[in-house]
Amino acid sequence: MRRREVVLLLISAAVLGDEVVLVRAFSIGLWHHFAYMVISVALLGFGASGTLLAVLARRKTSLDKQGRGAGWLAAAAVLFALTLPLAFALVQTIPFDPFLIVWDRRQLLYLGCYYLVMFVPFFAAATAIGLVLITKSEESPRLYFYNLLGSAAGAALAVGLLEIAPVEQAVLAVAGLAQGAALFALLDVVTVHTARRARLLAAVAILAMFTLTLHFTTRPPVVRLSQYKGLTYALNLPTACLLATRTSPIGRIDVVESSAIRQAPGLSLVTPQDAAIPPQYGFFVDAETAGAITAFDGNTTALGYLDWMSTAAPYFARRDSRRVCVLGAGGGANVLLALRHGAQHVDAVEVDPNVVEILRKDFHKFSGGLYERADVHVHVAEGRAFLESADGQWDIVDISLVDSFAAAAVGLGAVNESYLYTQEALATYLQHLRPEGVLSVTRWIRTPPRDEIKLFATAVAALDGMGLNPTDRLVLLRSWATATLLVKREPFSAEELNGLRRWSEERLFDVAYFPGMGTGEGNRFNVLERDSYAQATNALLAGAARREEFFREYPFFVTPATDDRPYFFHFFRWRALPLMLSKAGVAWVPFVEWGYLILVATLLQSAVLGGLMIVLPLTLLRRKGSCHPHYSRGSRLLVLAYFLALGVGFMFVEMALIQRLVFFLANPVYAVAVVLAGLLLVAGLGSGWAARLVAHGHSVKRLAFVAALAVATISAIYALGLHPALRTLLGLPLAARVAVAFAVMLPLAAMGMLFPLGLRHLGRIHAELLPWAWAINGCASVVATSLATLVALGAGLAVVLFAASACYVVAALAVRQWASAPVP
Amino acid sequence: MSRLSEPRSITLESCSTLGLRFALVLFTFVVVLFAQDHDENFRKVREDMVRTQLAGGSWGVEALRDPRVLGAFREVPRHRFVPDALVRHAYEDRPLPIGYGQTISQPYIVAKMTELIEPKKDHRALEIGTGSGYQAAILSRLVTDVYTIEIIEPLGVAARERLAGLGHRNVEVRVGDGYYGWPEKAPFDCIVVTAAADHIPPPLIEQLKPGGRLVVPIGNPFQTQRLMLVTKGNKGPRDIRVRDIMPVRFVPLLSGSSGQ
Repeated sequence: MRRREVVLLLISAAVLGDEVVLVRAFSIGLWHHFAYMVISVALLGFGASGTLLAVLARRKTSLDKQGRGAGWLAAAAVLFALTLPLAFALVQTIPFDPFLIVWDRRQLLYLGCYYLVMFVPFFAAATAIGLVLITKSEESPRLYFYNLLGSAAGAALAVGLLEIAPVEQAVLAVAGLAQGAALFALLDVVTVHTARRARLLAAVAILAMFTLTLHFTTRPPVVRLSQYKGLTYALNLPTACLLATRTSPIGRIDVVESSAIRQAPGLSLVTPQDAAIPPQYGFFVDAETAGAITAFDGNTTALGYLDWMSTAAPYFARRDSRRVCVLGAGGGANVLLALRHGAQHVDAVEVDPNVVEILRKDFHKFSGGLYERADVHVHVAEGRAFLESADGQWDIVDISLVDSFAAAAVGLGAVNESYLYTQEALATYLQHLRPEGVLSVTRWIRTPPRDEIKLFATAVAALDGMGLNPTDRLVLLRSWATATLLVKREPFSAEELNGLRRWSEERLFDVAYFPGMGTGEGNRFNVLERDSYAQATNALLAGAARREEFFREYPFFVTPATDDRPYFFHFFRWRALPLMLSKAGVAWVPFVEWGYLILVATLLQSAVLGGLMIVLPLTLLRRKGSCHPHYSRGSRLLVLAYFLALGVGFMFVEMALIQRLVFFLANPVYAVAVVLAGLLLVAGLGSGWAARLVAHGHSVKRLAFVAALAVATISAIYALGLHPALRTLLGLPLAARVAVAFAVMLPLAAMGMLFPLGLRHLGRIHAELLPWAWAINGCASVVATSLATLVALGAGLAVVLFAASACYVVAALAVRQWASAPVP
Repeated sequence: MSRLSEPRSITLESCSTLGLRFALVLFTFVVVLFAQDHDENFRKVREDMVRTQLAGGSWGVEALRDPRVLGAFREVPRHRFVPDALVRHAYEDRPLPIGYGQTISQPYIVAKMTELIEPKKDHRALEIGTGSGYQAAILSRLVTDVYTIEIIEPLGVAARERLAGLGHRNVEVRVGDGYYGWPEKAPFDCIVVTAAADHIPPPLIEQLKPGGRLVVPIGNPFQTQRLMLVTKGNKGPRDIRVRDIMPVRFVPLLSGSSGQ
């Protein structure tokens, strides 16, 4: 391996590592959708580097000289190594607050500063990678192998780092990789240049990196928390004390003690004094409120307050609740509820191992050893996957308020996939109920109603799908803050219904739907100006035609989520937007699904900026005038089509596979690490294989054509059959599932062949267009990331894979045209 | 008292020359004139705020009618309740940050909440979450006594000084946890809970008089999505109704939906 290849490997690793760490850091300090937007725009640095490379290419002769090339590479690598940690530290000082963005124009300026600061390191890194790939386009398949191998290692490494260190330290470790790259690049310069000036500059660069490292290791940068985050607020409370902090790639967990912390979502207004809330510690995930750890001494009679929330409803519908399954156990409130009602076997399912650890170790005494009791069985797993592969049956399956109120209220989760609330998921839960068992799902209420209506619609669809009549198997109750949906496989008995009716009335909870509900029975205690619940539930139970009509007309998107479109939190409808704006002016602000709008904003920004960055290098190249007259409009179009299709196609496949395999691997950490690193690795292997095939005299064109068609075919097959196939294998142990995931990705090695083969071909016929191809691919990848999510939200993951397939068909067609290109 | 006035007289006497004395008088005159002009400007802006944002019923919101409530908004200098750097935005139709993750709500939201609790001259009001003290200042113009509790000490102390400085003598500010209300002063005719967690503290409902009204805004500090109005009837402690009120008129949108 030569020095330049080491540089390429290390820089690629640092870039991917930085991306993973930054998403985490921004999710803690701000909200992860802004993280995503900022990083998307910053990644356009890859597109912009094409412009710089085009400028350098105008002085092609200078780049071709090995000395100059090495100098530029070292400069870019050093800039990357210096700005990576600096940018991280600097953004923590920018007072950007997404909450204020609608009200305060200055926030746009701050956001611009965020972009600018984050842009520099990515730009520098992209310039370095582009330089290596472009100046040696003949060897690009082999070089691209190192690029992808480095990226794969970087992704895996970052996830590993976040397991053992907080983000602030992880970013320094990633910066270490970048510095390693810079050192190798400098070594290259010093070997090539014998001039004293080169050595002096190298020494200065090394000194600067050393000083920076020293500074940050002694005074590491700290992630700035927005003052509007739950944790910041809690720490402002009197006598507040941060008791514990744990970090992992899933999220940062903080536990805060303050006498003013009391968590009881939607507690009844008439809760008696003897049902007061016991002492609690506030529980925060990524600095946002996520429940509480409740003091427990083994005596469940002191937990009376739990019976005064709508989440307790299933225990008053089903008196025999020996076996209970709590999905999203968190701080343990609903496990306590189950114990209070005499459960003898509680399965507590929690996805984050740190949550379980923190209760078992740090707060063992405070929580009364809740997660170590013989009758509480803790499973570190994703809820849906746990039940998909479980054998048993339960009296109650409880899914309560899995996301925080703050996140739910502003619709931040709008574009996140969730396999917890899909139609197929609800069917699975119902199949795991004992014949008289109850499924209970609680959500925060929003006005106008959204979550509860969609949940109800999903349950109707699930029951319909099982051939069961939904009319007498559903109950929907609501307090002023929460709504609880109860679903059974058997019809509710009159006795159960009477019990529930009395229970809710005593707590001033309203009946939103009850089998055989009379007029005037709902909307009594928590009075809505317009009883949307009655209207919605009536429409949803009035047959398929009426239901469809309701879905079409409701101002929010409440069609049930499915495994193909697993976006339960997506409620936004474009159709409602003009009406909202015309009727409500700025008053629409509170009702916006922010996650969705931020995604659209990301797409628009990256499309505009990306477009600019594609046009710019071309203009610069054309101004070269008569020196390079031999490329036509046709060949430009061909380059554009090919590299655009590859950029978009690759990201579409990647995004779709991540979302599919998140379900299959059932663990966000493994899923992201395995898919991101795995896909890059197999693509890298593909690239390496292409290099060998070309070396053995295989035709580049033929190879590229076959590879493009292969990816197109595989994507189409995955669109049709991947999910059902994976679902049958969910019961396998994790190691086996990881192996299956790799097997799924392996055929996609062909994806890694296309880009370097294209570069190699282009290098031979129009080498001056190489920077442009680099820019196109960089911009297309960024734009495609948000576009893929939008397509998935609107049409489903299968369509994303079909679109990817179409992209590779376009690439294959472009390759066919290569034959007509003039060969020098 | 004497100690306070002493330094002033010394200063004046020490201005031995006539010219200096004249300059000082002129300066004071200009300052007073400017301040009056400044306040006069704000009075006009405030009048505009009441006319367009509150009584006008702009952007689809319901116009506020209660003349007493509108009167209070004309009187209370909102610009004195916002941080110095944001004074020029004080009368705009927007919430403003006041630090510690807290805000002073949009004028319309404050006004709507005030109107919902139907304050009367002989009422006693409780507020949980003093913040800047603006809501308390408005209430103090409308009821006999206002008791307000702020959990974040620096905010509570600043609000107390601000309210005292502006002459709101019927407001008492306490720094502490508002969860258990103010039992010594209970019961209350109206309660405003501006700092709601995930539930309305039951002790506050207990401290509400029969016939009393309690209002809670729901949403994050910058996005009030709905107002919960809790009313207590005369038929005992369980005679309670909650009304879910959208501060903005979202109804046109819903009326386009099915089932109407």
